[in-house]
Amino acid sequence: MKNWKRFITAGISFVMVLGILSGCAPEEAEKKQITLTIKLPPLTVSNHDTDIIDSYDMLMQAGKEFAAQCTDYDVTVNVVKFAYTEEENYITGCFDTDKAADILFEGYFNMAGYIHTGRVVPLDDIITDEVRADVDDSLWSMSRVNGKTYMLPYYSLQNTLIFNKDLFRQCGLTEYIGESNTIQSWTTEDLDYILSVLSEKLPEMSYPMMMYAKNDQGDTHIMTLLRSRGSRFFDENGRFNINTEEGIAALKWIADSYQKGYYPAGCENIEINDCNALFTNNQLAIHMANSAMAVNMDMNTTGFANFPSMDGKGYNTSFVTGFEVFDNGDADKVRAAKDFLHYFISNEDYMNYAQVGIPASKATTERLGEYIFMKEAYVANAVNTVDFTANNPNWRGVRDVFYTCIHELLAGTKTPQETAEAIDSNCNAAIEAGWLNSRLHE
Amino acid sequence: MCFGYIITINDADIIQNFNIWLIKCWDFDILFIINYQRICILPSFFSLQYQKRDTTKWNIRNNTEFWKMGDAMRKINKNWALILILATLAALSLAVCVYISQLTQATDASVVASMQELSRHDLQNIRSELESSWEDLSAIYTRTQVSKCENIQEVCSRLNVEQISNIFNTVYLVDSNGNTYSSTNVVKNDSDKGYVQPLLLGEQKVVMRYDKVDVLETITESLVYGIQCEPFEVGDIQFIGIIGFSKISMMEERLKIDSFDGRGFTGIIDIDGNYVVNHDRSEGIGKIDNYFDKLRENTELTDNDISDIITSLRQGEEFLLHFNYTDRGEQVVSFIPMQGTTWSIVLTVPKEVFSEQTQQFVFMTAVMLAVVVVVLCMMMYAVVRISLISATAKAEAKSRGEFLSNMSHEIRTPLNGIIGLNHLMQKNIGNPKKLTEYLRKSDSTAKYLLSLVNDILDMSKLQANKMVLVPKPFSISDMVSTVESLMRDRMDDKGIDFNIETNIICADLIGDDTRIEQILVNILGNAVKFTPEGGHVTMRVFQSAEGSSITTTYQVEDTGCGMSDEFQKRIFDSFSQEHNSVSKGNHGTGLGMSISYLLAKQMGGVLSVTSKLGEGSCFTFVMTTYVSQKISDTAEAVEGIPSGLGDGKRLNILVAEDNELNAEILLEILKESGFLTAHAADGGRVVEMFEKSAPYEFDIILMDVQMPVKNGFEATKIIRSLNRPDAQTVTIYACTANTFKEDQEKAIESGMNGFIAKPIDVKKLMQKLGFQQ
Repeated sequence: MKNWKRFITAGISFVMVLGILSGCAPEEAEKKQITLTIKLPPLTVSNHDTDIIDSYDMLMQAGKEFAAQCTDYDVTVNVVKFAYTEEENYITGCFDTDKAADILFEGYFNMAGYIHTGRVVPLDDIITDEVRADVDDSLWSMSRVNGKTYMLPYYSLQNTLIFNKDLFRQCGLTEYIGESNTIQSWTTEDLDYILSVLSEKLPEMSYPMMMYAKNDQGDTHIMTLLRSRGSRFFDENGRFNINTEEGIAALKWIADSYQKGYYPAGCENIEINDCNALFTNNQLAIHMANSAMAVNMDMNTTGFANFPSMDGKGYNTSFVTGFEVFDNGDADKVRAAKDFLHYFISNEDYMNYAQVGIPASKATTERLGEYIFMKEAYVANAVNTVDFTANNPNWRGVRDVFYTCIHELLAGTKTPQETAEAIDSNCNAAIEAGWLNSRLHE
Repeated sequence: MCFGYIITINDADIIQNFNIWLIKCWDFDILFIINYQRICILPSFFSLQYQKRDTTKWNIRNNTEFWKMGDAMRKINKNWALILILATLAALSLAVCVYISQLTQATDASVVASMQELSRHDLQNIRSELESSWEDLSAIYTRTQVSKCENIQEVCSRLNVEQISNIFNTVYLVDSNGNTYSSTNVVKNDSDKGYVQPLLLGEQKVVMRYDKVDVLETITESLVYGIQCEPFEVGDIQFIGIIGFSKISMMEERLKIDSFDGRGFTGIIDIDGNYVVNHDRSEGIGKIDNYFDKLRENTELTDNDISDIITSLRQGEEFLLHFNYTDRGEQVVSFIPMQGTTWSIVLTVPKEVFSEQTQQFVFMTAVMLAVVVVVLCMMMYAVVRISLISATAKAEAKSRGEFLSNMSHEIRTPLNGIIGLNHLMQKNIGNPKKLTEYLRKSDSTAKYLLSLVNDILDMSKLQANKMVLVPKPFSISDMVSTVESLMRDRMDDKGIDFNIETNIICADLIGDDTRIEQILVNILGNAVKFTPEGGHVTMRVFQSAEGSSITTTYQVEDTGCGMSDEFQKRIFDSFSQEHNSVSKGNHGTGLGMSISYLLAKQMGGVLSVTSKLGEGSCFTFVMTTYVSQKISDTAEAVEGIPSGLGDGKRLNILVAEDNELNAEILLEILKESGFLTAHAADGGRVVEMFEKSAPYEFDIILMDVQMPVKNGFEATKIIRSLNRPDAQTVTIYACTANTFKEDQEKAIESGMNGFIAKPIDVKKLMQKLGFQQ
C-alpha cells in the first residue's frame, strides 16, 4: 500500500515538474499568418541584371524575399496572372471571397476604376517625402483622387504607332521611315498618303494599317485616332465629346479608310492580337506598340511614329503601370500589403525592372538610362502625350461600350454621325454611372 | 406474449395494497412490487417463498424471510443487472461496429460509384463537346468549300464571317503544304505546329491544348481542334483540313459540375500529364501545371509508380487510386481515359468525403433509432402507466368493496346490540335490575361503536396517507405517567399485576406524543383484554443514544392468551381478530393494531410482536427521535389554563344546536350538572340571542357548526365582531361531529376558543366546563 502511494506521489511530481518545465520553456509568441494575393495581367518587365521578363516572376521573387525578411507576421505571397479579357472575373468577381486581390499591379487606366469601389486604400502613409520627390508630379497627379494617393506609379509605357520599314521601303515610302530610335510625326495628310501608297503597292493579303473592333483590347489606340481631325476628345468636364465636326470627321476617315482597303478585311471581327500577328507576319505595315512590346521586335525593320494629328506633331498615349492595395476587411492584410509595397519600392533591384518603360522613379531612370529602350525618344515625345481617360471613375464601363460603337461603324451598320452620337451617349452614361456609384475608401 | 395480474400481499411488514404484478414473458417471470414511486423488478425464480392461495392472490408467508429474500434478491438483482447491462453494451458495441463497417463499405462503394458516374458524365460531356466542335469545323469547311471563293482573301473573309457565329476565336484552313489561312487574314506556314502536323500525317481529327506565350501581353490559352476534310482548291492551293481555336474556358465550363459539395474536382490531362483543363486556376493564365510533376512533389509516388499510371492510361484502363498528398491529405482519384484522344478525365475527391458520407448515414441512423427508441419508451411508459392506473383503480375498488363489507359488518353488530337492548329495556321498563344491566351494556356498545368510528377514521387517514403527525417537544416521563394513569385502574379492576420498568436517559424528546400514547394504550388495552386475572403486564421503556438522536424502545409484555403463529402474521391487518377459546369474549374493532402499526411506521418506527399461544405476547415498538430542550413546566401549566370566569357563579351556557334531540340531550345534561342554559335552533338565532342578552349574560356558547341560516363559523365571526364588551371574551366552543384537524383549525380561525367532539363525552365536557367554574 505504501509503495502505491509512493508511486502515485512520484508520478504526480513528475507530471508537475514536466508541466512546470514546459510552461517555463521559452516559447515564441504565435505570429499572425497572412496570405497576400497579388494579381496582375501579363506584363513584361526588364532588368539588365536578370533574365526575368515576366512581371509574374518578378513579383513571385519579391514576395518570397519580402516574406523571408518579415518579422512581425508570417506572410505568404501568392501571385496570380490573369488574361486581360478575364480581368473582371479575377478582380471584381473575386470581391468578398478568399481569392480577392490584396494588391493589383497593372495599367492605371483599368486600375483607376477600382478606386471608386471604395475598396482601394490610400497609400500616402507609405509615400515618404523622398519617394514623393523622386516621382514626377504629373504621375502623382494621375495617382490621386480627392487629394489622396491611391496608386503607386512604377513605370510608364508610351504607345505610338509602329511601322514595318521593309514594307515601307518596298512601297517607296523610305522618306517616312526616319532615323532609327526616333519617333516620326505625321500629319493626317501624310498618313493618308502613306496608306494610299501602301494600299496600292502592298501584295495581296497584306494591309496598310491596323484596325480592330472585336473586343475592348487596344481601344485606347482607336480613341487616339479619333483625335486625328482635331477633336479634343473630352469636354471641359471630362465627358466624351466626339459628336463634333472634328470627331465625326475622324470617324468618317476611319470608315472611309476601311472602304479604301487600308485595314485588314473583316477588321470589325478581329482583335488587336490578330493585328499583332499580321504585323509580325509582315502582313501589316502600320500597327501600334510600346516599349514593352517593341523589345521583342526586330528594330531593324520596325519604325516608330506618333498617332496622326492635324498639326503634324502627332499624339501618343502613356500607360502608367503601378500598384494599388485593396481593403478586403482585414486590417492586418492591408498593413502587410503596404509593407510589401514599401519593401518593393525601397529595393533597388526591384525598381530596376521598371526599365521596360520609363521608370516612375527619377533616380531609377537616371541610374538605368543606358538600358531604357529609346529613352531619349520617348522622353522627348512626352510633350505629345494625351490623356485618354481624364481620370474617369468607370473606365471599364466606357471600354465595354466604346468598341461596340467602332464595331458598328466598321460593319457599316452606323454612319460616322450616328457613331459619334452613340459614343458620346454610351460612354458618358458609363462615366455618369461611375460617378454616381463612386465611393472612396476613407 | 406477456400477461400479468395483480396479487395482494397479506403481510403486515408490507404496506397494504402494495400492488404486485407477475408478468410472464415467455418462460421468464418477473415480479413487480410497485409502490407509489418505486418499481422493484425481481425475477420470479428468486421469490420462491410465496405460496399460491388462489388464482389471483398470493401470500408471502414470512416477513423476515421475505425481507431477507428481498436483500438477497436485490444483491443478485444488482449483479444480474450489471451483467445484463454489460452484455447489452457488448452486444450493442459489436452490432454498431459491424453496422459501421458494413455501412462504411457500402458508402465507400457508393461514393466510388458516384465518382465513376461523374467521371463518365464528364467524359460524355467532353466527348460531346469535341464531337460538336469537330462537326462545327467540318461544317465551316464545307460552307467555305461550296462558297466557291476565287482567291485567298475571299477564303479568309469567308472564315472571318464564319467565326462570328461559332465558338471559335480563330479559324484556319490548312493546305497540303502546312500553310494556314486564318479568319484574321494571317497566312503563314505552320507545318511545324503540333496541331497541323497530325493533319498532314493523315490523322482525321485532332484536339489539343495550345498556349501562345511568345509575347507576354498577348498570351492566350486555347483548345485547338483540327479535322481533315475533303480537299478543295482555290487557285493552286489545295485545302485539306480546318483548324479552330477556342477558349480553354469553354471546356472548363463543361466540367464545372459541383460534386461532393464542391470538393470533388475534375481535370483533364494529356498522356504526359500536362493539364488540358485544370480546376486550380489560382496562378492564372500561362501557368499550366503537370499532373505527374505535382504527384512527384506532393506525394510519395516514385517514378515507377507514375510510369505504371501512364502505362495504364495508354492501355485505356479505368482505375481508382488513393494518393496521400502532403498538403491536401488523402485523396481518391478516378482516372478514365478518353478513347480516341490522349486525354484522361481525372476526378479527385478528398478521402474525408467518404468518411463524412458514412458519418452522415451513421448520424441519420442514430437519430432515427433514437427517435424510435424514444417513441417506444413513451409508448411503453404510457402502456405501463395506464395499466398501473387501471390496476390501482381496480385494487382500490376492490379494497373499497372489502372495506364497506367489513364496515357494514362491524357497524351493524353494535347497532344490532343497541337496538336489541333498547327493545329489551322497553320490555323490562319495570325491572330496574335488568334495566340497569341493559343500560350498562347499551352504553358499552355505544362506546364501542364510537371507538370503531374513531378507529375507522384514523385507519382511513393512515391508508390515504393523510394522517398528519404533529411532532413537538414532549416529556417521555410524563407520557409514561399518563399512560400508566390511564391503564392503572383497568389493570387493577381486572386484578392484573401492572409493572412499569424504565431506563430513560433523556426524557425530553421531539415527537407526536399523542400518537405514541395512542399506540401504547392500544397495546396495553389489548394486554388488559387478553390477560386473565392474576396475570402480569409489564411495560418497559428504555433508551439508547446515538448522536443527537435517541432510540426509544417500548415493550409491553403480558402473560395473556398469546397468539397462534398464523395470527401473528395477520395481527397488523385491518379487522384481524383471533377468535379462540382464550380470547373469547374480548371484543375490539380489530383496527387497533393496524392503526398502531401504521402510526409506528409513519413515525419512522417499527412495531413488531412475538407471542406464544397460551403463554403471552410481547409487543415491541422502537422509534428514534431527536432530543429537545427541556420542557418548561410553566408552559405546560399555561397550556392547561382555560379562559373563563373564576368567580364561582353558575355559568350560563347558550347552546346552538339545530338537531332537537341533540339539543335536548345536551341541555338536559347541562341542567343536571347545574348550569344555566339557553337554546338557539340555528346560527341566526344564536347571534340574535347573544345580541339581545345583557353584557356578560352568557359565559359560554356551545356552537354547533352545521346549522341552518348561518353556520357556526359565520355566527362566531358575527358575535366576535359585535360592539359589546363581552363579544371578544365570551367563550365559544365548537360542538361538532366534524373532528378532523382542519375542522379544529377552522374553528379557531373563526374565533372559537376550543373544540368539543360529537358524540359528546360527558366526562370530558364536564372537565372542560368544570374548569370554567
